[in-house]
Amino acid sequence: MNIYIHKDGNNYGPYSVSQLREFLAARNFEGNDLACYDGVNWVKLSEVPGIQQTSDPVLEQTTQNTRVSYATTRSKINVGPGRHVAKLTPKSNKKFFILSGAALASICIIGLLAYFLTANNDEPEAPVVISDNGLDDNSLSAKASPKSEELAHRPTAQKNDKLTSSLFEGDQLNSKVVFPEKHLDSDEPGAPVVHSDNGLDDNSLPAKASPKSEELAPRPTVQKNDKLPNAHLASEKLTPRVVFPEKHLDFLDMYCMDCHNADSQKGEVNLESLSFTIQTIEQAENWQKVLHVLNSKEMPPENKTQPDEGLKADFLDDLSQTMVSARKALSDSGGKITMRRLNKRDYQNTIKSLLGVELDKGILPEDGNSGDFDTVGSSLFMSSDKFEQYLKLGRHAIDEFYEQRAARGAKPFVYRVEPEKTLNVALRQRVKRNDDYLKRFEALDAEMDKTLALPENKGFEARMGTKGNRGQLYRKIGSHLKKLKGAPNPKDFGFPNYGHAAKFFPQFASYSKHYASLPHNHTGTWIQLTSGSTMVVLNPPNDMPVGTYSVRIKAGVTNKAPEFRHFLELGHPETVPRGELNGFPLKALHVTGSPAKPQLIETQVRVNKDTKRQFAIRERQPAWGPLLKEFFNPLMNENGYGHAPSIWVDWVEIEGPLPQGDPSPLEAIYVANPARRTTSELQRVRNILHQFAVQAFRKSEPRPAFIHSLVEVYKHRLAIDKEFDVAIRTPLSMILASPRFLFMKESGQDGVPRALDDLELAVRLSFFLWSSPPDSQLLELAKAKKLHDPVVLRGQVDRLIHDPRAHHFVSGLAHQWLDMKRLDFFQFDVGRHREFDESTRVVAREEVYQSILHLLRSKDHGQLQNLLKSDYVVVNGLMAAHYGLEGVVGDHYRKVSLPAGSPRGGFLGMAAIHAMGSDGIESSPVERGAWVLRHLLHNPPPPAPANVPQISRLEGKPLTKRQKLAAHMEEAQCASCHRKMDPIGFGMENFTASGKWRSREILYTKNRKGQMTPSKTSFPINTSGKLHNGPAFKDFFELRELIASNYQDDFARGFTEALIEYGLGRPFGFTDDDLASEIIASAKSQNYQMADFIHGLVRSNAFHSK
Amino acid sequence: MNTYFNRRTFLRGAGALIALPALESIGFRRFASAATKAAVAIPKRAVFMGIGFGVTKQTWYPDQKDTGTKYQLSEGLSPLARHKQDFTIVQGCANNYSNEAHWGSTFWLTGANRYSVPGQNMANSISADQVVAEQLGQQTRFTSIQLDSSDGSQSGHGPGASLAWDKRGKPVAGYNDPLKTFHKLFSAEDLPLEQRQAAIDEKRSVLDAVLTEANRVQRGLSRNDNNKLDEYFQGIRDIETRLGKDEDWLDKPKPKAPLDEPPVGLKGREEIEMMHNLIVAALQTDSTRALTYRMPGQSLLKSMDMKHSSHNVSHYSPGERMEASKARDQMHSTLLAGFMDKLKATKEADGTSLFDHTSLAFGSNISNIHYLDNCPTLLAGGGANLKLGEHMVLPKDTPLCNVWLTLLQGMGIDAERHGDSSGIVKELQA
Repeated sequence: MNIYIHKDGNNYGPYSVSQLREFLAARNFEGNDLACYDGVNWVKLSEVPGIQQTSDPVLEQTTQNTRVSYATTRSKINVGPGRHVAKLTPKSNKKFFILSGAALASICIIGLLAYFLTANNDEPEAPVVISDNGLDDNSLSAKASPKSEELAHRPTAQKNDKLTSSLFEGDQLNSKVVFPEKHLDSDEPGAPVVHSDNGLDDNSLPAKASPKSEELAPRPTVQKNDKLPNAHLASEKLTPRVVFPEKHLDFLDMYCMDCHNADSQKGEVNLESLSFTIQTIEQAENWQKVLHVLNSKEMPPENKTQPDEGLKADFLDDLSQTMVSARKALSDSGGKITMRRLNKRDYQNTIKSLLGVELDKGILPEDGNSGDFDTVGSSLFMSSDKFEQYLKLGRHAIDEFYEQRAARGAKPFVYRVEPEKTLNVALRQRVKRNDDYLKRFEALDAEMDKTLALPENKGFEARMGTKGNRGQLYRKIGSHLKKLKGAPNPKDFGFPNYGHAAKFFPQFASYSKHYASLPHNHTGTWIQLTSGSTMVVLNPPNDMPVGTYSVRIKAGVTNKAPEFRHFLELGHPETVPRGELNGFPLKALHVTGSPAKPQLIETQVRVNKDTKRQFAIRERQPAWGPLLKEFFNPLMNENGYGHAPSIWVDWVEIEGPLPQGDPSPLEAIYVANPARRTTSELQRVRNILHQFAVQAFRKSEPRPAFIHSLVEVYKHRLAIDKEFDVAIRTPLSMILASPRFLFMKESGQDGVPRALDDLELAVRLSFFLWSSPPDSQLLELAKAKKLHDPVVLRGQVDRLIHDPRAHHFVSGLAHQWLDMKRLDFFQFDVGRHREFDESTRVVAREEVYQSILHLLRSKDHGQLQNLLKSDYVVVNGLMAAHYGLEGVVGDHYRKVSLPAGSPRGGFLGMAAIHAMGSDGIESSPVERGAWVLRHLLHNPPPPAPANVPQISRLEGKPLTKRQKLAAHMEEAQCASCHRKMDPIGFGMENFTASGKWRSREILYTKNRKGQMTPSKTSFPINTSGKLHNGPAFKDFFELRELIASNYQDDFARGFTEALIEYGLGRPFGFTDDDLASEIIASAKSQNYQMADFIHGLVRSNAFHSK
Repeated sequence: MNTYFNRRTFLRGAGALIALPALESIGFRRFASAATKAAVAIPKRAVFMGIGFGVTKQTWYPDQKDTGTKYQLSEGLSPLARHKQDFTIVQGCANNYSNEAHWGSTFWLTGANRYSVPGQNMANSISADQVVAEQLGQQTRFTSIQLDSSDGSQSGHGPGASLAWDKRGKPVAGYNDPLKTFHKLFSAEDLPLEQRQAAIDEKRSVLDAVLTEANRVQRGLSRNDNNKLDEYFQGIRDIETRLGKDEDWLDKPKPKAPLDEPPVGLKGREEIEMMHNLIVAALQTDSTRALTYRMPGQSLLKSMDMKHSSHNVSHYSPGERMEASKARDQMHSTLLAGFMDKLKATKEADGTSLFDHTSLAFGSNISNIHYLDNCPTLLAGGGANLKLGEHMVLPKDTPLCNVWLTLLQGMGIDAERHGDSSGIVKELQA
């Protein structure tokens, strides 16, 4: 057929139908453009025969074409073209009826009946129901569809037998009976019939959709058809089908269909055409819209009947879950692993292992956050910008490498600061200056007292409105001075004017004075918090070479200071505008000695090319925050000087650079290829580049033409740079921007999985467990083709997880599995959470990683469920101080047993988790509940919906959080999710935003300046509750117990899914369900030893094939 | 492989006229460009400024019943009073595919459906500024300029490297530092011409070399992986195109900077003001005609001495956070008013102002809190022949892309649709 198109005044064509379909899909044309196919008439392009079936998904979304499942019946009989016609051959129909057996309760049009009667006469018992209204199928025909009562009778998978007979009882013959859509879907022979709309039926479902326990809300059904032999679909992508529970037909029928049926199609929305089986993006979009208008309360309109809130909540709950499943199904990779680019972590570690250079995280390009893990190849994109970044970064790394080479022979030096010689001198000068100032100020004040007391000056202060506040008076007095009779002249007291006297009033005078008077000042310095001797700064020579340095501190702490003030921070004293310190903290250091018996603290710092050559230590404190305002003044009112002393520092020194370790591979290549007379310079260059490329490409050979071009670039550079050592940097960095370095290539064919060879396996394994390239042992095993041996492989996995590099795996996995980026979202309110500073944030995060590492490496005590509840924590001194645990000394992490009845132990007691479940100011029961559902119970709530009306009428009222959040239950669109999240979150209310234990909730009220300050009112915290559709708990401990004992399997499943996504580098999809089940089954037999999950994945076929 | 089909090429190449039945009543719409192209001497420019998290619903939008030219400015917009005749507020628009309540910028200028590509969790399409850049960018040194801040993910922008997404739906990187931007725009090249030519040649040989490697890698890859590698090839090709342009500009010195070098470390309010100055300077010197600015949110609040995070403020409810939200809106309007002053004060050769030839759009995909409907949309400047000085309320959920399409066509851009547009907004055309 030759078709011409008219668009915007021009004619195009002729095209074939298939061409036009492509153009439609590419949006070159639209359905509304005019087309001529018969040489006679102009019609809409969408009306050209044959065009419709793949018409524009966006434009046509509410037209009949989106009816795939329900609506197909009509198209099978009518002329409507489409692939479903092709599918429903008599043969398949027959099979399909046989399969469905007697379970049929269907509504068909008369034509279809006739068709069946002839086609199925060997199945006389097949029940066929005739509807008298001539309407087709079971799509949502409002007018003809029975109301809820009848619908309640509708067949489900298990009730089929009963229903079949009931169908023939009496009057039902005349009514419209709905044919469960699953039967329509089953036109593929052998398809498992799956439909769980109430969590009760269905036994044929794969693990994913089977209800785990009664309290779980019904979940959308997912049908996997990847294993089904099916000629029709073999060439298409096998998308699992997600089914929205059919029972919700009632809801739509009751509240939506009056307007949005096929006839009226109000707002061009025809819900009758909506399929309950979601298989395409446009179907998902249509349902998304339904969800959207209900969530935003747009529909039903105010003047129409409103659904019961409980009913609506159930509907929304299921629909939003269905959407999550549908999105997941539609983005299922189908088991494909897309070639992966080195992510930020991989890149950093790979550079380190090649060049011995540690790049700063800040200069590495971000991986973007599409919601997938950063190991998922399909989400790690490449662009011109990225390429240029890599080129630049590669050069940067090579330059670092050269700096490091140059530092190899550098002579170490020591640089020490004795603060009593610097800070104390300044302190004494300050005290003297302040004393002098105060003396003059007081003298001026005394004169002012006299002046104000004069009768002619009576009421002056009142008129100025500065009663009692001398500072304020001096600031304001300037132009009013003449009105004050006999006022003292500030110049007589050494002040240029009154304003000056007020402005430079030394508010820290007593603070300084107190510190100057402390013992041990002749040998060291007491560190101040707010002003004065706040930092001991190290200014080593600016040309200090790159390398690793030791920083040593001799310090002590007074017992009188609270535990959290026993920590120093090491950092760079970089002052950026607004007085913030950006360079803190590099590290927090536990001070345990006393001024009388100071202790030596030692740590290491890394100095790179661009590292600021200046260091400092200070007492740990919030990076930003009105410490002064919120703490200093009240303390001053109390003790007369402000912050009490805590840490005393004798001296601080830096020594280095420390000897470098083994030469890096590039260094080794240099050594192996020295400049010789016997080899030409170019040959040497060629050798170096070739050998480096082999290393960088993870032992695969570069193309000779590539090396040749690199040498050409070298020659070109040499003409400009003159020196070998400069000229070679360009071709070296090009190797680091070439695809075989950046991408982990595994060749493969479509549709035919291939087993990885040993080298590929080594690469996959080491990037999985180390985020680094394989080391020599792995490579040797690969070369000897031994790595595939299950025993060898198991041994290697054990070796890898005990290597320090396994930290990359744990942090990379946990950060993403547990959504830990949220931990960085908020600046903590200093007034309320004084102790949650940057150092706490760092160690709280590390506690999570260390707890997992501990399990991973425990031989017999590595049960995953220890993360739900344990009688120990893995902490360092700072974290222990935060938890109020005594006797944990130093900055390394170790297992610490907990006293009985401790709320700590397991994720539910960790500060990192509490902090993520907060906004930096208050705890957020909602976030916490959602987190627990997502990560512990494996029952994730759908993402925060757009456009849900926010309830804020209770904001600012003197109510507990629980009372305020009760409003969530008033509206269905809130309740559908919050009834699950909130009770869990309330159960965790004993923890503040910073993870401190509390038993009362303090009410914050606005002060005169509109700031929120703690009031005297507080409420006892009620943590009792009940899981949605589940058991009750009376407090946090019972909640924790409940989760720890009832949800181990769910937790294991969530962990496994994350592990699969992380390890295989593809989003966890329905195609991975079986793999997950295998891994879990194996791990369960080992009582969920964490290492066994890793072994399970590494053993699996998926891990060994491309 | 995601072959990008260039629709213009396609339309041009389509068959010759053949005797076909006469058309009776088909409306002909001509491109605005056809009518105005000849008269345009001073270039048109487009500036898009995205704020990430949205506005305060109660106080930013003017009353929906009070439309037209005589409408009352809202509290949040009040600092813009002196420019009231020169901007239009459009209500009722939304990117109807957006479901991400915290992504204020990802789809703002694209209108894309993140789930549009089967088997993929995230997809995007070209942003309006890049459409401008494709057609107007050939005549300037910088095809487009993207400005960004160092706020990262904390300001409600969502994924992306700037507001801009290229024609393949990949994020385009931006400059996040005023100082760097300044040097990029104005710092003279210190190398002599031949050396710069040599540098370009060298870059080409670098690309050639990695391409030989890439060709080798391609062998034996599955289709999926080939698509992935194709991103690499495309990236290289884009750089080649860019190099060709660099070559064209090689002998043309960079313009003299119309402003001083910015100080180091500006944050928040000061940072925005400086970026505004740089935008004016970039337009004034015709360094680019397509510019986007993904504005800082978190550091803006910090520079206003607000202790709440921008996420918290965006989830305001009556009380402290709502006040903070209002104050931030006012600050945005104050800064925007200052920016408009600068555009107006900068004169073109014929005495008209830069403002007269610039099309300015300000807003976000997020309206407020978690709401994605009624995207805050402020349009200003004479660059797109839009009706200014009005408050208009379009039918609910009008595709925001209709506004972008109207703007694009008004600038003379050859575009028939953008994102999910369903047409233009006629009442917006001057």
